[in-house]
Amino acid sequence: MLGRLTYDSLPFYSIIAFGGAAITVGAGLAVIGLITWFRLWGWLWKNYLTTLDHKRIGIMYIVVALVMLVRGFIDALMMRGQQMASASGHGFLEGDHFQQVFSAHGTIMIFFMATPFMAGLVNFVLPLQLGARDVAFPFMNALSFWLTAGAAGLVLISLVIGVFSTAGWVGYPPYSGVERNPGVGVDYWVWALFISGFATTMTGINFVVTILKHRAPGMAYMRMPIFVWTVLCSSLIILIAFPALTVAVALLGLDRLFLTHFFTADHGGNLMNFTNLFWMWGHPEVYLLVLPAFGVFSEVVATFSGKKIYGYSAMVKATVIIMFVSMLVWLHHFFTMGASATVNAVFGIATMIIGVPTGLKIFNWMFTMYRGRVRFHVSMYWTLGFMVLFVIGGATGVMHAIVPVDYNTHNTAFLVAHFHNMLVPGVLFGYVAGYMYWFPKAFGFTLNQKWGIRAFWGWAIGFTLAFMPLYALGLMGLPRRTANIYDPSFLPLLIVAFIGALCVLFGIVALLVQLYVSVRDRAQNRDLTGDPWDGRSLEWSIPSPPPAFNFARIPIVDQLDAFAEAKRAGRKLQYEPAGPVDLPVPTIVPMVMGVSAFLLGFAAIWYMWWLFVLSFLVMLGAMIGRSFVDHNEFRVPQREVEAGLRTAAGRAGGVQ
Amino acid sequence: MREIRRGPVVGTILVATSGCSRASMPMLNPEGYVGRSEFELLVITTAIMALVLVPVIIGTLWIAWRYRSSAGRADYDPDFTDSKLISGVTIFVPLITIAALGTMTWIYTHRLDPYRPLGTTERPYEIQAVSLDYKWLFIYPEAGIATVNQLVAPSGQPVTIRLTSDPMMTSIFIPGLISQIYAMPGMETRANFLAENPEQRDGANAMYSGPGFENQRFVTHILAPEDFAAWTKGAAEGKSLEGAEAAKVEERLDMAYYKKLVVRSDGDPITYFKSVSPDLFQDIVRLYMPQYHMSSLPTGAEYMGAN
Repeated sequence: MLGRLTYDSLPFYSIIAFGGAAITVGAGLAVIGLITWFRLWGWLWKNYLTTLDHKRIGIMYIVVALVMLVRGFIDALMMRGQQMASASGHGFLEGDHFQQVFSAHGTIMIFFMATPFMAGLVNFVLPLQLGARDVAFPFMNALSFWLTAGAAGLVLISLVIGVFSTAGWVGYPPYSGVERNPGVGVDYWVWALFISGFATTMTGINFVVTILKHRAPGMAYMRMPIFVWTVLCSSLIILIAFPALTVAVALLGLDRLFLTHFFTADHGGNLMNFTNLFWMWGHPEVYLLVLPAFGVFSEVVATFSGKKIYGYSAMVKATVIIMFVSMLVWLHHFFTMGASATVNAVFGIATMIIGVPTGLKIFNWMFTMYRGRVRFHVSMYWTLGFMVLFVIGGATGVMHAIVPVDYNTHNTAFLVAHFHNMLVPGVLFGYVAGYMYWFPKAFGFTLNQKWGIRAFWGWAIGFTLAFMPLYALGLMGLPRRTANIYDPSFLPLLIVAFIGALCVLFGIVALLVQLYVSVRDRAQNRDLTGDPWDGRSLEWSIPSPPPAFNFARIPIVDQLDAFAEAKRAGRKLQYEPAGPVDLPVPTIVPMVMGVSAFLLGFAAIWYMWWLFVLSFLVMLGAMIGRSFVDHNEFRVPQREVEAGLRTAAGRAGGVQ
Repeated sequence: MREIRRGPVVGTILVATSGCSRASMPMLNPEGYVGRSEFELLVITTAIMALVLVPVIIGTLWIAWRYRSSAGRADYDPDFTDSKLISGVTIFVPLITIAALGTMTWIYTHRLDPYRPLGTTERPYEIQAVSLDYKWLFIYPEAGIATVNQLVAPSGQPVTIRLTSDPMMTSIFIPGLISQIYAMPGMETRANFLAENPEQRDGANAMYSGPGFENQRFVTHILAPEDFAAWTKGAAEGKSLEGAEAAKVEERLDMAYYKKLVVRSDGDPITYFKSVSPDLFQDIVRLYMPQYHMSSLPTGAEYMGAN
């Protein structure tokens, strides 16, 4: 009945494992309790759990991302603490706990923090910037979200029931093979990635079709905001790259479950091919995360400099070049696997070529500020912090592309410092800048600036202190993933890195305080104009929060930054005539399928085959049943749409 | 603040020029052709990158501050979005930098190809390395001996290490002497070096292969040629290396004993085997890849001719 799930799978074997489980369960119960206490279930059910509205789905994605950010950061803090403590003794993490922690940290931050954060921002912003009423496939959009949430749930439940993988976030065989790791840990990792891989692929399809088919009339490709361009390129990367990962983990799953030999060392398997497939996804993944962040920076810099973006067409071309080249560099993750010098050199040089369009983007952001009027809104802090810190990571990236240098820095703390240098200032700063920039659009009030700036300094100083020492430790030869430090001369730099992590902790706390303070003071910080930053793109032309149908009348775009140009010329945007609007009917089906996917994964991990079959049938039934629903849209009558034109929030329901 | 942000660049240059202690910064105190060339490359590329980086960082902050809205400058121009001069600079500066670094990459990647034997006509001295959970086995086929967790090699002579692993994917790394290359089950990879002077260095498995992988470390002793010859003779009689930790001595390493050695263990003592069965390395690879055949090692000239 319970497969291989026994009493021993519960976390009563060590204090730290129990603590982690208690925090997870406690936080879950606390949330449920609070929702019940404030009698929010009905509201939650109606407005979020069953919604197909892209704005609310976007918000739910970001909530998941922030929860997972906290979880992933606790892991980071434990790693820093363990390495520091181990310099004098054995540290406090016993058994393979440290290995579980770094595997979970990487998996969570990439798949369940960065990717959902990106999907959330894009979901919220993209249709608004396009002048569209929703994404192309609202049902599939909700399904993507619920599958992502189900996969994230698997990672969280691994803290309470069983263990997580110890194979790192990359899960290379033969270590992740069933011979070396027969337990449930790697299976948790495999199933979480497999399910979220499907979800992200569907998200990519949705964004591409939305951009191709749902632009406002007149919005030619070269009139799309840079953010839309970056999302288009990022989504195309998703379509090409994500199947490689989904297939790779599926084959690894087959190796583990049915003892096939895709990636084993013997019987004709090829373990190098897993590495190959993983990075065919893994490198484009970095770019699909960072491109939308570049898009955010482009919007923020242009808005807060009061100027059009410098070199729009060069920015577009740079984005497209990055998209193409990003798919031709994956081998640089394993220069040391023994390919010939020519192969390595070709991939090394291809990697460096990305530095040219990226460098160009940095310059174009600089010259967008040039002869502008730069307002130091908190989003500008994150943007400037990004520009200063990211170029350092870019430089160490180019160093890694020089093959013989990589031979020395590969697998060391230097590498860890490099990719955090790209992902923290590049990706995370970008998403946070976007979160603070678009928050008033979503909720109708602005975020507290003071706490936002404090959060920025916590992150910027914390990042610097936490990762610059790792560059030096890498040059001292410290391999990444080392649980117990064998050389006391590493200690001083590890202490500095730990202090850095504490500064980041302050940054995270400041983000949460900012949210609390802003909600508390929302009455004073109402955005009644819909355009608090003197914005440039279409989302600022509608009320904050937008009505469910976004645009009561669809705007007609005649140039880049049409809204900003109309404001400057003192005229109004042109619109199509108003009419009734069809909106998707809320439905419980995506959530049912997400919960079933969670149960399906859980059943496969614990060999509960009856549950596996049952949840599979539920998913299948839900999908087939849904296809028989003909009336999945309801019509908002014209007078209500027009009422939405007159009142700020719109009667058909703004985001509360 | 600005100094700290440029940490890696400044730090690398400082460390490179001040000469840190060898123990703490082995990569920056290289020995032999490979280590030295790689160090040289690190310094040149860091310098090129700093040339671009420092102006960009200062420029960004300076422009943002100079054009702050509170300064109310009169040259505000919301339509300034294109300038041939600026666009030229912004495309050519990255392009020239990358062209320079790309050229260096091509040259140095071929020069420092880990498969390339050093020297020209001289036949390299062969050592076979097997990465085990969590220890290193080194076989010296010419002398017919083997060691665990201690690598001894001659100076002044090209050395080729044949690498394989059983059963995990790992990465050999002796910072400052040889850079990383993976050791994988069922496969043979190679590392080459030519050390000029006798010395001692730490080696490791740099790649995570399970909890405890960081204990998969070994000591490398580079000996003068005559001392090395004396050591191989002595080791065949069970004599430990002078000045090093005394080794545990075993008689013969054959497949039967290997099956015991391969069992996962941690913190194994330095062990000497007085004799080794001749094709053991090949047999270990064949456990995974039955069709594997060990080819003879090329000299530098032969390798360059074949490639």
